[in-house]
Amino acid sequence: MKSLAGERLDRARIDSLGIAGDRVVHVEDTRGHVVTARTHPRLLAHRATLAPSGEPLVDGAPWTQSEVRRSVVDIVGPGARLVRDDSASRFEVLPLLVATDGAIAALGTMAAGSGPTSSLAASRDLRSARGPDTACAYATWSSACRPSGAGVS
Amino acid sequence: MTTFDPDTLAQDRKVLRRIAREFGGQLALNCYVIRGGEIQVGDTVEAVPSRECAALQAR
Repeated sequence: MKSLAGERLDRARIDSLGIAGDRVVHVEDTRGHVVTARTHPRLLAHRATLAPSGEPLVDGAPWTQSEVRRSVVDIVGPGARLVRDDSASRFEVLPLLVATDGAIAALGTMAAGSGPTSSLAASRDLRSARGPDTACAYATWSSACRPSGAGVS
Repeated sequence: MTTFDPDTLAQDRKVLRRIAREFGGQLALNCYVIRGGEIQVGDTVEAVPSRECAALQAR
């Protein structure tokens, strides 16, 4: 579910729209605008998971339950509702984010205040993980690699 | 949500500033899927040349 705390997966099925079941439900305000944790970070206090059936759960309850909606209204305000959208337009940018362990470790190291030396070393890891032949996969990815059929907002 | 820790709801705007300053704003890849499949923890991954991107474009 979009903007709720996520779920750690040991395995996943990747289809044309990324991880199966990813962000198929979002929160809308009374005007039908998508509400995210950028403006309502308390949404992150609720954990979204995917039931084996493929149905999203919020704190273990089916997302359609009234108690889930009440929690969302409590955070976003009266009239807020949960909406299911399985289409490609549900992604703000692209369906899948890929980060390397090295990149995340580098950022975490910096956050822990270990200084710039280790972060520079780790950012070299990121570059090497990217490889020398993947120009398309990086700076020009969004323009050069956009499939014509993908509906990306 | 880049600047929020979902476990504590604490915000740290410095995270985004660091990504901009220390990584040139590029920490991860936003991706399309060329070919789907199953992945699991422990799988080996590699970056591959861009031929498939070009093929995808030509379609």
